[in-house]
Amino acid sequence: MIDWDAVVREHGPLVWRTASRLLTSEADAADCFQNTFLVAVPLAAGEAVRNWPALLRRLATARALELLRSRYRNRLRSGGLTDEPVTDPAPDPLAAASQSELAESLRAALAGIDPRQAEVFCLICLEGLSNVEAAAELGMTPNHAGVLLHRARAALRERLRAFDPNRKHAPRGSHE
Amino acid sequence: MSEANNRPIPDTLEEAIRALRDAPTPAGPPVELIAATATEVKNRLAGTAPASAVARQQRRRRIMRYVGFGSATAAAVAVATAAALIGLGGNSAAAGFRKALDDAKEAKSVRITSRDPGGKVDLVMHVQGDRIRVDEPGSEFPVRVWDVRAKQELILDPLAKTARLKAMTEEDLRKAAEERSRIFNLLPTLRAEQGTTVKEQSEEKVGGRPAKVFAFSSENDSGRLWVDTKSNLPVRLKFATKFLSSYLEMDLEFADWNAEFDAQLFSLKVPAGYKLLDEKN
Repeated sequence: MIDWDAVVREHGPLVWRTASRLLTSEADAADCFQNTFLVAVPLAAGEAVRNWPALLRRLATARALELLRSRYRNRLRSGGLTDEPVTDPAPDPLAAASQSELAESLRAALAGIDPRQAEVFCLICLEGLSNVEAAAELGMTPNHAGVLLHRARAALRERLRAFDPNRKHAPRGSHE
Repeated sequence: MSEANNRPIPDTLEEAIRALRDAPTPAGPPVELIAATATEVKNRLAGTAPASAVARQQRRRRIMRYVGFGSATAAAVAVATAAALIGLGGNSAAAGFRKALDDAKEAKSVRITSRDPGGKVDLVMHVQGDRIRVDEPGSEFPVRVWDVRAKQELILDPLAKTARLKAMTEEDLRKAAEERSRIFNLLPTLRAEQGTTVKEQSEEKVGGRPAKVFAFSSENDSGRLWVDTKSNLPVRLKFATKFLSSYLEMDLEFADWNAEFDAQLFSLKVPAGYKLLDEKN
């Protein structure tokens, strides 16, 4: 019998961090948080969970990416305002603005690439899982996870070119 | 050979990964969210039908408590959502409502009454300038008063005759400013969505006064908004919107726009006969 109170309490911070990192709206992060545990219920009923953090990270990442894609789709349709980010202001406003813009650019790019690639990318590059761990969670071979990651990075790099501050200043060749 | 040409070009993707990975996240999850989630999990295991009236009411109470400002946030979300649904389109229904939103934006005060699915009043909120008071009998915090200028919050329990007075944190102040903005500045929060149907229906009476009625529906929301024909301000909003894996049903009445409420409503003084539980921070 699973003690769900304990599961939510113990692993809640991890799920919250995963959701909040991708979703700048606190309401969306809360939605993702609750959905993650609700989706875990039937999974836990079907098979004993050996690694709660890994499972919840995967579920939270998938839910968060779904919401992210949905928000960006709505934003494109309506041209409306973005939600207020829920982060605290940093001591250096200029540096913070630059980092914040980069982070938001990556969120936008993630919303536009293949969902499976986005999921692998988030688990490995943002959540810190290894190829093997991510592959195990996603039910694929490490090789397959590696291929998806490579494709994700290529797609993201392409999408981020629009935000690359060095694009106009790339060296054209050496000059003696 | 120029040194600048040999300088490695920063990898934007790697920088963006670092920026996103290291992006600060809000402290959490909120205690109320943990409790609400654990309860929802148990409801799911027990097969409780979320559509039952009691479950909806309990859910709304939990949601209101979870959002911290309780119904202040829920009401703001409700009005802003309704505003967003109407959109900025060119039809006369949207134009009429836009005018109402413009007027609401200029308001300095309002009283919002929330009713449960049975029609019983379960919450009353007063907003005046930078002060908000929420009366929600039966909740964990039956009376809450926020004074943003004084940066203080007073929590009263009339049954237990206890009081708590605490300083508002920066996070509290930010939330208060956000919620106050959402309540009055509906236009900036508008997100016009395609696929929303808006129809102006026959006039009805609200509180004995004639009101225009707008019915709206979209994929995730449906409801009705009543706008007083004389003041052109919202007087009632009733709708259901997707929220936290279920549907949040709201039935709100708006009154006393721009009224000057009794200052006692927002007083941070601990009432006579109440026991102060915490010291002032």
